[in-house]
Amino acid sequence: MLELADIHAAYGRVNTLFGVSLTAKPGEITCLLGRNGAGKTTVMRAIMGLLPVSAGTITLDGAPLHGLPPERIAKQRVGYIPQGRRLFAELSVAENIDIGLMTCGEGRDTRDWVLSIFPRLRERLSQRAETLSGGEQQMLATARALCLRPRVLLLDEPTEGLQPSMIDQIRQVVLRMKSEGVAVVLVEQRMEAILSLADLAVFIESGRTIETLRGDALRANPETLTRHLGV
Amino acid sequence: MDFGPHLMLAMLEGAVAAAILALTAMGLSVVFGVMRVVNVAHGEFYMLGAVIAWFVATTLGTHPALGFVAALVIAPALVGALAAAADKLILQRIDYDPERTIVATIGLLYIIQQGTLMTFGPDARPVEPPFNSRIALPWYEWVDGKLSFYYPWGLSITSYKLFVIAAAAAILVALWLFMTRTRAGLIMRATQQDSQMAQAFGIPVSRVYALVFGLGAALAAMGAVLVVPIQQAHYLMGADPLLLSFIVVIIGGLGSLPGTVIAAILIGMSDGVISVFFSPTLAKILATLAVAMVLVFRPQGILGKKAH
Repeated sequence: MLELADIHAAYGRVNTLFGVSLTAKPGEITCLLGRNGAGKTTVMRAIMGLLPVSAGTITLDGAPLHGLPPERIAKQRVGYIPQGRRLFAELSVAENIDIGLMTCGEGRDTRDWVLSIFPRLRERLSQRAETLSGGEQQMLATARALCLRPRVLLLDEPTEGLQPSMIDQIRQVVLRMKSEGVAVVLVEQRMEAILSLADLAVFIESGRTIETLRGDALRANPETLTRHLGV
Repeated sequence: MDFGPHLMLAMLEGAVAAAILALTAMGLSVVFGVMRVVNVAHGEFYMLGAVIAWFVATTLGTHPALGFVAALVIAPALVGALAAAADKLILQRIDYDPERTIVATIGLLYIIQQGTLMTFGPDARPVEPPFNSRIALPWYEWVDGKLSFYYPWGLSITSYKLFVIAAAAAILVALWLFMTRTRAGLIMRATQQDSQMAQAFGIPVSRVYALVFGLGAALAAMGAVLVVPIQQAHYLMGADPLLLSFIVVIIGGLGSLPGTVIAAILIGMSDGVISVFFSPTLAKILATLAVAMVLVFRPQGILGKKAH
């Protein structure tokens, strides 16, 4: 279980998180919600160790993650699909997957498993990542994170700018990870996705957690979304 | 000597210069490409390679070939280890901040240079080449409508200089295979593309940086070991290779390894040819002018990518 307890973080001298708390349980989807600039991506970066946490704790199954360098956090099988994908653009599809496999020492079985989820990538293995379409790039970013056989999967706006068929495919992957017991933390803007996927909704505003709702409660009161997100 | 043979001689000298320059500039390019560090001390790593080569060859004192082979292994290894230590002790502590790394590597330049002056002394010292037979080169002429060959006086090259060209080419091919075919090379290329994402996928970027800084310095040292039987080791010999390496890296495209090789061949060959026909100073002036033109009309260099 991933737990964030009252974390504070800053970009240089500029404080950006002022007390974010959330819990992501295995086999559940925790949606991190908020308006643009609320600090959702910053929370993801703080979990990955890409932004130093100045106060509060981040633990995975009780073991502290805060203060660890990002490479050691990744080796705890924390898979990260960042906003904008951030693939290794000049490397081939196969090389991007290899980087994912190296993280936790995974081998051919995991490679075959990942390529069975995204068969289109198998046809593009020698192609440079930057030459893929937007949807294929998102597949690759997801595949690269799945190569860790993650215990925790962080997805930062994975469906941004994608066509509906691709959105559905990403949704299926998220549900599959949930069914396999992965703790999923999802940043998402689309209301229907939030309402259908969230087991837990954590609302943040100006770098603080302002409300946490179970998915059922959220679906019973969808106007909460409108109130907090202004959509 | 006629113009044709004279030009051929100049081009061969240029090819030797290009081979050494390609190795040295490649070291600078790898460091900048992966770490975004402008290493002003790169020329001193080159100089240190030559000085250690002299020390190893003199200490062993047996057959020149044995001393040379030992120097070719020991000098790059020692210089690479020193550079990796400098990365850990200095660059990592200033967080690779661009301005501070320039100042820090200037400091490193003076420490290495003055340290060498205090220990090695101000004299230029030769290293005996492992072999050095002179090879006469043929030239052609048409006599009564028939092609015939003859050996013009002075048209020759030493076997060692041919070896330098071949060895530099072999090292560059090995580097290319290392970068494209090995796990360590893949990790370096991933770090070059996006160091934060590399970290997020388990790559220990600080260790990669130390390795890359060491590799860059070791390449410069290899170039120096190859050149020292031709040029002699001297504590101030790092200045020219540093200037020419910067010229090559800028013209080739910052961080582009194929661009660096192409630019090294262009600059090395033109340096050789212009030096033979005119003067070495004119060669440096024209190379610097070429950099200025590249910076104005194609700032990303021959094969570099435009900044977004």
